[in-house]
Amino acid sequence: MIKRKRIVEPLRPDTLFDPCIKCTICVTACPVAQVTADFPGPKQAGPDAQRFRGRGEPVEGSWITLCTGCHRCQTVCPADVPIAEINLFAKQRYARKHGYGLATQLMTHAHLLSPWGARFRPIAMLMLRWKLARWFAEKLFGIDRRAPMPPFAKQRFSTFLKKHKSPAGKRKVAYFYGCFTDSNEPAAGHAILRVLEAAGVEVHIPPQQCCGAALVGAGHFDHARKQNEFNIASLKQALDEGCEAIVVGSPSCALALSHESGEPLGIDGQGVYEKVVDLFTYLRRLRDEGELNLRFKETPVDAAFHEACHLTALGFGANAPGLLNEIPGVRVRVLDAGCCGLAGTYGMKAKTGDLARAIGANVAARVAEWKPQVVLSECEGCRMQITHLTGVPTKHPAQVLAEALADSPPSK
Amino acid sequence: MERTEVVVVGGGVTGCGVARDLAQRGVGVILLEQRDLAYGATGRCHGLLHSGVRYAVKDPIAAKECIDENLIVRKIAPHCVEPTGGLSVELPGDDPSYYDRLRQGCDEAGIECEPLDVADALQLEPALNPNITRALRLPDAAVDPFLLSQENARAAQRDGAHIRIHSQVIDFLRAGDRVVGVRYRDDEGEHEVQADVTVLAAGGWGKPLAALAGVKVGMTLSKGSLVIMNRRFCDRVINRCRMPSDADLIIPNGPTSIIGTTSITVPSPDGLIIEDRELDVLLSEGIDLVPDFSSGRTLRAYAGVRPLYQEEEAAGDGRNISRGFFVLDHGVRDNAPGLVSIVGGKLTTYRLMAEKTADKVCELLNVDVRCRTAETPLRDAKRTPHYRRYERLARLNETAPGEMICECEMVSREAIRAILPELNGRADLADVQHRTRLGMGPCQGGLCSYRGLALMQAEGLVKPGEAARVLGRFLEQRFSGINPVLWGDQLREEALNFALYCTLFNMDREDRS
Repeated sequence: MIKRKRIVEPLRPDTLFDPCIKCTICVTACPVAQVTADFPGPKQAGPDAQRFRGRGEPVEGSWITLCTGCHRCQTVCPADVPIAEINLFAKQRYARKHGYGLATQLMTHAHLLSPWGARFRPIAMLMLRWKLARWFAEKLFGIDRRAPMPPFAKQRFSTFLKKHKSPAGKRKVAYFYGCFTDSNEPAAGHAILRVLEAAGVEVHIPPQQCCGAALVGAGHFDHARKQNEFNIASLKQALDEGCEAIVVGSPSCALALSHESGEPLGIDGQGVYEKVVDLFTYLRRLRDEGELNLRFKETPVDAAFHEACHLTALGFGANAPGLLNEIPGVRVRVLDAGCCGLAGTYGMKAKTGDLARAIGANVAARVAEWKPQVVLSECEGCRMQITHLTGVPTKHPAQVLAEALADSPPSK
Repeated sequence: MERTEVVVVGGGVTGCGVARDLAQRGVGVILLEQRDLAYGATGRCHGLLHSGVRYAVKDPIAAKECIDENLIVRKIAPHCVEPTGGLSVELPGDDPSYYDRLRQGCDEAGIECEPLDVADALQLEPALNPNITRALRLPDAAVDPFLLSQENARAAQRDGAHIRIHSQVIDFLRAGDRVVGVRYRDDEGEHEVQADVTVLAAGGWGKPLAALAGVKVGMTLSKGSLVIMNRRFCDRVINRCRMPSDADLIIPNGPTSIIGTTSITVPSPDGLIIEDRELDVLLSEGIDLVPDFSSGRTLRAYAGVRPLYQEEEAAGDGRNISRGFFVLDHGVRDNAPGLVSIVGGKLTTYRLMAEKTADKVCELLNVDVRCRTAETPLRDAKRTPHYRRYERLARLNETAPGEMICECEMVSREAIRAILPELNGRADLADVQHRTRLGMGPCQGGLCSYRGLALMQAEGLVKPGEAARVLGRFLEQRFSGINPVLWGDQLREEALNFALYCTLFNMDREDRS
């Protein structure tokens, strides 16, 4: 049983180690501690170590970079110790002295690189598949040559959106699609858009930049702050213009736009943080109010659902399996096999790629055992990693929902 | 029967210092301590290496001694000292004339004392009450009294002295009026040691011990209670700029802060009770100095006694009695030759006290060797850098998983193994605690007590059938300090510890073993 909660209060991680009662539950929940002895576990790395760290002193011990930032420790903590936040600050202090590393620098700025990948798609795709190029990338940049790499989109989602006008509806939400949907996998974005519009919700697309989740996760606060100051202002305006919620496609973006922005970046949320939800939580709320009127056709799908760590951390629960299982023909089983290990850029770095694969072994084994047609997860990182580890195709759960809509064309 | 030149009774910092000094001068020494080194006032003090500023206004001699010794201890035992520096801050409502008297007193005693802008003080220590009106910068430092005592004892041992812990003196050997040694008791039974000179360095226990020898030593026992907070709020020693009073001193100690103290006259150094009114004063005055105290986690409270020497025992709280020390030659004073007492004094001046005592002993023994403790480091200075709490954090890197016995204070199996030979073959977790900080973190022994016990069992220190008693003794000793502050986070911690030890291990049952 995992305790779920919303975490939006202001934090002072330098002091919030006090309530830790050393129960060590976090260690049992930590995916990294289970696969390597090099990481001392969230209790030692978080509240225990923080107690010994002085103000303004650099943080030593490269083990801090082994924390994936999955937030599982924080989610299970009975004393509300913000362990993941403590580690984030420690990572930042470590990076200030020891640098971020080239791989981290490149991949945390994927939002700048990916549009170029999409523009020069044929060459970029070739480079990604070309083993020699990947070998060079590992040697030169420290990017794991076996790690999953996202494809580049034929048409960027933002390009499509320029010509798209959502029909007016009784309800209106702001949709934050995120850079991965934009440059790498617009299909998820199209599905979310379709589902919301089919539910009679007007979808407003506010101007947006990268949420900075990868930057924050690497302790790279300054760039992330600039981006999210822009995002918060833009989303605030969307709320002022009558949007009732901010629907975010990816749980990691949602987490970065809710609490993670708050304290590490020191940005005043102006009411935005509290309005951020994932798609299925929003749909669930509509249904609870008796306002979800979607008609489905018989859609035979045998799927497994993987709950992303950051979805858990959001605190709304995983609402996709329940809704999807109401569709005739759809069977969704919840994997419940822990973290997939990718953790954004973590699984892509040569330094931590093997660890990421070891963490994901549980998920891979369960998928191999169940042999579903497709694995569903809201998180694009999890999707990449699960396909990488198992060869089973993956989708955003919104894609299954969209395909099952009564007026959908038959799926390919 | 065993014979030696000098028996030192008491293993506080003074006794250890006397043993170190005499051993260095080539005198044969046996030190007997009833419990563990630094068990009494030494281990229950504030951990402040005084700059003397606290006595600058009303006890100039003590102030001068403090600053001189402060500089010497930093030099000879840098690994026991954290040179934090200190601030003296004035709050609204404090007597403004004290500030000037303090500066004048410091000048006269030769204590470096530099006025500081309030803004600069707040930048140095952001946790300070922002309403402070004036601030002074002082050369205070934090000192680890356990380590300082142990290092003196170790230095003495290297020079041939014998250090015996858990050896309680129960009587004196007499030849006529002359005191010619002691009888003591340890786990194995009673023993006698003959000595040319017996030195009483027993702090608050000096009075009953002297009485045992038929000698009257006037002493006022002044209890001081202190509270340990789980967080290091300030990196410097914070003094309240007012006439010394209750709870006007906050000292960073490793990862914690210690606020103290109170001053209440008590009849005996044993069975000290921390009263609620003391806690109220300590915490409310603490909040005045550092407002974050209100949200902090109280780890534990403890109390020690200042054994203040006074020929005529006075009423009152003892704050007006000199913090100076006295070497009493009972041969001259009380017609009990062979017995010397060292009374009064402070942790900061322990070395000077030891020097004067050793001078007196050498005079009685006709040994003509000069004291060299002021210029000889306790350890090879190159090998042991400054005491820094971050060294413990670095151990996280070097310690394999499962090797960290105390996770809160980051004490490894290796660190504990290294001190086991000093335990006289006894299994006592408190002795491990005093030498390693095991069990001194937030969980107060919750997770490390049974691990430490298992380690000692594996090393053959725990006798068959003794394990539950060893564990129970330590848990009770830890709880005695938690009990006064049993609220908030520490209460929740104890609920977990209770579940661990009483539900899982049946430690609350008589037939637990």
